[in-house]
Order: sequence, then C-alpha cells, then structure tokens
Amino acid sequence: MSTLVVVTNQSEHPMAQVIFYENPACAEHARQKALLRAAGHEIDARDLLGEPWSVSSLRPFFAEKKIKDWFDPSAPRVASGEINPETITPQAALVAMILDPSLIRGPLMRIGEHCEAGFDPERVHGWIGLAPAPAPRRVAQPAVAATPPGAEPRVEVAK
Amino acid sequence: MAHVLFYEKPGCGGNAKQKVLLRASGHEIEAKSLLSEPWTSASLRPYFGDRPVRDWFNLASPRVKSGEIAIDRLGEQEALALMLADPLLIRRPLMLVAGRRECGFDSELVDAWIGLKPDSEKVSDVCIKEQARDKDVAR
Repeated sequence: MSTLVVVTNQSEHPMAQVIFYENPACAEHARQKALLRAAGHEIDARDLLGEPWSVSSLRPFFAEKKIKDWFDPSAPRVASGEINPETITPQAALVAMILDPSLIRGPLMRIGEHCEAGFDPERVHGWIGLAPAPAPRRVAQPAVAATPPGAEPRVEVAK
Repeated sequence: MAHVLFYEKPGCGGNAKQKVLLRASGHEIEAKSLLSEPWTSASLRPYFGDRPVRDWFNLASPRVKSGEIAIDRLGEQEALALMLADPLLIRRPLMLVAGRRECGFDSELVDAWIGLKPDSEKVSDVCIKEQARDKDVAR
C-alpha cells in the first residue's frame, strides 16, 4: 500500500501581495502569474513597458545580479548585439532601460520592500512559496531507434 | 542603547563583524540591503556630510581599484549618479541613528557617537577579504 503525502507551504509562507511588472504580451509572464495565484498569492499586475522608470525605482530590482542578467537576452537590441550586456556600465544600462523598458528582463516583482528581477522558481519559492510543482520530468534515457541492418545506430537524446 | 538603521551588503564579512560589535555594545540593529534601497541623490547625499568625495567610495570596489572610476576627479553630482546606478560603489555601511547619518565604520567615531564596548577587537570598514590577502602577502 502506498501513502500519498501532500506537502503544502501554507504554514511556512503566508499569502503575499505581489506587484508584478510584466510584458503584457509575454505568455511566460502569464504562466508565472498563474503559478503565483495557484500558490495563493495576490497579484497586482502592471505594465513593465508603460511604467515611468527612474534609476531609483528600477535599480533596486537588480540587487546583486550581474549587469548582463538585468537584460532580456531575447530583446532585439540585445540579440542583435547593438547592446552588449557584458561590457555596458550600470549607468548606461539603466538609462537604456528607462528609454526602452523592453530591454528589461521581466518580470519585476515587489513584495513590500523586497524586489526581484526575473522569475527563478526556486528563488521565488524560498521567498514567498510556490505551490508544489509537478514532479520534474525524468531525464529520458537515450532512445536507440530501430536500426536497419548495416546502418549505424542512431541515438537521440530527449531534451 | 541606540537604534541603528544599518545599510549593508548582504554577505559582506566586514558588515557582519560591525553588526556583531554593535549588538555586543547593546545597540539594536535594523539591517537593510544597500543594494535594494531606491536611493536618490537627496536620500544618499546626507550620509557623506562634509567628507571629500573620494571618501564616499568603497575603495575595495573593483571599479574603483581598476581605475575605471577616478574618484579624485569626480564632482559630487557625478559621484552620486554613479552610486545610484551601482550601490556597491558606496562606502559601507551607511548608518542612521536618531537623525544623524554616517558612512563607513570608523570605530572611534562610532564610539564617540553611540558608544562601543571597550576592549573589543579592532573593527573598521577596510574589506576583511583584502586584509586577509594582505596578511598572506606579508607572510
């Protein structure tokens, strides 16, 4: 007989009110909001791209992150190499982001005085608690396809 | 006993020692991250009082040590603009007690200000990682 153990975080992490700056067109941000709601948190969603950012209001979100991690790597101006997050100074990075918030790696989240940039589920869980995630997908064994006689075996590794 | 608002870099060994000394001296500490504060020129400038601009800086910061930031040639506004974008440049800790603000940790100054336990180990704001390295080099 097996026993089902359900672990919840209700006692460890009370419900939090999260100010969530999102790119409204980003499906990933929508998924992250759903995760937060499923964990019982209340979301105050705001438009990352429409916020009148200043150095003072934006910088705290990045706390100890390296400058290259402040940027959305898929932003066209980053992907094209026009902006090099490896060499840009903090001042130039913030000015560029204030002028063009699509460069910012979202979401930006604030709870009380605590700020975070990006959505690292482990960090968020340690911070306010996330609903127990589904068990991680098992790493698939390399699948050996049926091999025609005489051919090299073909190995596919599932991602 | 004083209530000390103490802005630190989380994980900074020097700041940890300073907090231990302050607590041992009977003070109450409210520690906040220097990096998460929405600093403005107006909120940051008072911590430096009448110190020269070069003394506002954390001399252990790689950007200062490398010479990228020439702290002897900076005006106040330039220095503040750099610090708002990169709070690791700020000489830490920043402390606020009953309306008076100070930067760095000069134990004589702190002793005269709020009192420190006598005969305690010498605590300063020199980066303790650097001190340890210098000792290794001396050996």
